[in-house]
Amino acid sequence: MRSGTIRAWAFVHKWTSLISTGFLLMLCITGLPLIFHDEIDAALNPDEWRPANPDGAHLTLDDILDIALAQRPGEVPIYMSFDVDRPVVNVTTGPSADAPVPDMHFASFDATSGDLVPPAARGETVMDFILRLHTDMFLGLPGMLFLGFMGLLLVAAIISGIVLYAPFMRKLDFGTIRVKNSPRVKWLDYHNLLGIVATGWLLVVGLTGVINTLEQPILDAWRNTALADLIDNLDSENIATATASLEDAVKSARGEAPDMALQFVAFPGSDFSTDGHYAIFFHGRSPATERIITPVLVDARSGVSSGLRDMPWFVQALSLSRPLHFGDYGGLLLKLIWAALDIIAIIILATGLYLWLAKPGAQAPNSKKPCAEQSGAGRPA
Amino acid sequence: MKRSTKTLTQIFLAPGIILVLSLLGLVLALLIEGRGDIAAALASGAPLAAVIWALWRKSHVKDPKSSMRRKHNNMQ
Repeated sequence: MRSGTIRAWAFVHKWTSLISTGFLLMLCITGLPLIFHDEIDAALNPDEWRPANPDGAHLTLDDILDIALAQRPGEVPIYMSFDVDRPVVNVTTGPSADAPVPDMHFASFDATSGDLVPPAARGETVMDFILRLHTDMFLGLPGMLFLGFMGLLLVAAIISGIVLYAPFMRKLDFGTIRVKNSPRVKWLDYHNLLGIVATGWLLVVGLTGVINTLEQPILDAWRNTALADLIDNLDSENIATATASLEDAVKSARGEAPDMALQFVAFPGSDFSTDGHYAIFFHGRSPATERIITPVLVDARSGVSSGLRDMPWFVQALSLSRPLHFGDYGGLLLKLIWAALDIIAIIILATGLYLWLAKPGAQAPNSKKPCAEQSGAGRPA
Repeated sequence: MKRSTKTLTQIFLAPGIILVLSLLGLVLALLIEGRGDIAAALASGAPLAAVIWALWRKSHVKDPKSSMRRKHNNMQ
């Protein structure tokens, strides 16, 4: 590789890394507890709750919705979801169907009695704070898009790092760490080793993170393309008041997707629906399909179903990018590996910063020969 | 002792294997359950195995440069 080419890639690596390092460090540090969100939640809030009538019949979804709305006067329903391992229905309400996440209220109800299920309160405030910092830095969509841009810089830094790895390693065996040389050479070797072995994971987490930051534009694109015919048929620009029975709508939707499992209901006006439909989401039952969600749209006034709507590829990519970003899909072993790789990412960022701060130009004249000369390239890979 | 210059294949062989293993592991963990899930998780941990191997190697394999230097000093 020509020295001019190396210098160009080094320039890309240096500046994409420097600009994004602070934000990426924040994302890695806040991402660590988020990997174990379920375990932390379970440890802080041992589940002692039992349903009021374990063998009794379940209330209808309309009954539970009425109970939920009675407790939140002036609010409208946004989402309804269902616990997998206990008879609990979760209802999200807000001042309007398109309310931002911080204004939403989440409550869980016993499906056998309609009683409120005590929330898992301990530690929630801290975890919510960490999640919002990680997701949008409390800035909403602009914050998400900014972090998405930082993710793109990370991808550029990884690619340039791969390119620069070759000139650094042309005389060294894979995995060499020159501990007897200067501290800078030692940390350069650690930086290169950790960076090259974690490349796959870093690319997956970086790219899925970028996709996650595009959630709002992706959902808007889905509504404006795949649901365009339904939106065009709505007779008013206002969000419809749902008058059709939710229970009947879900039953009707189940008929459209008999082999799938019910996941959640999005009410008219929410991000996952149109202004006039219940969007009733199902997911597959096999490991390969359980993360792919498919909605049945039911008119919220007439109760007429418009059938199963397959999600376009970009929404499916969003569905798959969530678990691939947070690493919470393969059990505790995968979470532990994810956490270890996250720590490796923190070390890569910290060593990169150190290598920049301790660059050869800043060393004393009598200090050892700069590592660039020893390895054949000018900047850390 | 002069160290030979490596080809791109030699440089990227081990990192390439680790990359493929970890990507396969990440995707397969998403698609399969049960024991295969554990195998997939272990494959995605290939980078960790490489780091542990490098650290072990660092503490067990002598740096040829420094051992030569020591030999040279003893001769003097």
